[in-house]
Amino acid sequence: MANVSDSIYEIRYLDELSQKNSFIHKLHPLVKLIVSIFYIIITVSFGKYEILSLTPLTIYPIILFTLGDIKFFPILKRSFLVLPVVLGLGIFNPILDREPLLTFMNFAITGGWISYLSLIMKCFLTVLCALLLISTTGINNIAIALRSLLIPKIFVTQFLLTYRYISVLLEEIISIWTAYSLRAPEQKGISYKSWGPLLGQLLIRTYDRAQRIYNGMVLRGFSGEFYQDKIRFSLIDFCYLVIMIVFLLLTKLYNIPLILGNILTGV
Amino acid sequence: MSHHKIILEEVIYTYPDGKEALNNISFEVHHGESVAIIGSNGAGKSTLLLTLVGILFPSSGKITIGDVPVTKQTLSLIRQKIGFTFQNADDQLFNGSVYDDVAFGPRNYKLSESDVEKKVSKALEIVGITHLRDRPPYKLSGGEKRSVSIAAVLSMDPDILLMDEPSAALDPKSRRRLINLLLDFKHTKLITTHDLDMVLDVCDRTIVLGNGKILADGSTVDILNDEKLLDECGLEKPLSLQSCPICNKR
Repeated sequence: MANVSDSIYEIRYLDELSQKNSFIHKLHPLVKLIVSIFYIIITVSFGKYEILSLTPLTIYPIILFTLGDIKFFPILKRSFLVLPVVLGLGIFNPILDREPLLTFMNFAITGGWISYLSLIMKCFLTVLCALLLISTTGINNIAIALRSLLIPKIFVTQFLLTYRYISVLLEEIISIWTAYSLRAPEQKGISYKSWGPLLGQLLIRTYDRAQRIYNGMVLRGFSGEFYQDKIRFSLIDFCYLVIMIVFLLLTKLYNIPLILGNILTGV
Repeated sequence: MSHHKIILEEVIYTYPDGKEALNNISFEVHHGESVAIIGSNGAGKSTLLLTLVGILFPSSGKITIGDVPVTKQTLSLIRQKIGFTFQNADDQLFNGSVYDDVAFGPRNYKLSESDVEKKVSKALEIVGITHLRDRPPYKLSGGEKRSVSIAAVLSMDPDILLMDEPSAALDPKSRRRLINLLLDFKHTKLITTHDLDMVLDVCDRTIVLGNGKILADGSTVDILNDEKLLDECGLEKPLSLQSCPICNKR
């Protein structure tokens, strides 16, 4: 029960963060969206054994955390939520790919383990990037940015409403759960016999609720467009965009850790 | 739409399951009038309000707001002029901050951000919640949420205010503030409620609904003093019109 109510606060925590007024928050939403998409593309573009080349990509989230005045651990905790999925997806890598790639203190490390690790790193970095985008830009601004990229109205509305629907769904779950547990104090969890009716209820109730919220939006003139005075591109936005794109391209084109290592060891 | 009047002519609405929610409803609300719609649960009050803004369309009959008939083509025009507050304020608030929620309407009508800012500030001031401006709506109390939902429609400068049970779930002080607010709003008002004492304070005219039909339509004082009628409609004389239980004086 407590977990469910916590989740609501958690999902809204990102919305709250997006209301801050830091350097990153003030950047143009479109710039942040483009950099994030570019970052995700670069991250997933690395080969499955290229762990070393991935490491400079951690700099980007660190910059966002620092300049965006975002606390590290709450976001980190949320990015772990998808970890089980990736752990499950990649579990066969070490089993199928047994070719030793390198040795570390007399242990032969197989390609499978390296690719497993790189999969986890990629997942972690991309999820972190998405969470940071939401918490520094806000869902409405992302929608505006998507529209300015000429993404069709229907997809953007769908995206926005799906995001809103999550909290509606959670709220309905809480009230159903409370009502259930108050009348079934001896039980742990919900008896499987009630799953059917409760799920049905949940579906109908959230559907009704979502419909009412949509009505509320429509009655205040919502037609799928988001009008907000165009935030102007400033020189800072432009510089940020160029610097980030150049940085990401460099990480892709050059193996920065290797170069740094060579310089330091004088090879 | 210079005259903010509402005209219903023989409006019938039947729900898809066959339940007749509105049965031949006709009435006219004039510019500046303040009308209460009362009736027991399931009398058709909320359905009536929803047909006025075109969320539900009558099975037959005609609704005119100002001089414009409510049709699919005129919805945008009509909704711009009508402020509608829901029974549950939570359904109206979905943004990250009170400011964004109140600005949602004006922004949809493509006002410049400086005009939006002015309208939001004015609406927040009228309702007396300027201090909540940057708070996330889901962390507010029930009364505060209600105030935000009212500010959210006032920011659109509506000519007509439709309210579905506005005083439900309000503490006495918030309720009193709401009543004062409604008294200050000089445009046309249509309020559905069970709070008959509020009706007495705010509305000059009352329409009684029962089983989707109009059972009475007249001056609030006359209707709320008609105990027989109220009893038939599942209502009760408001406390302020009842005799004192101790000394039997009014």
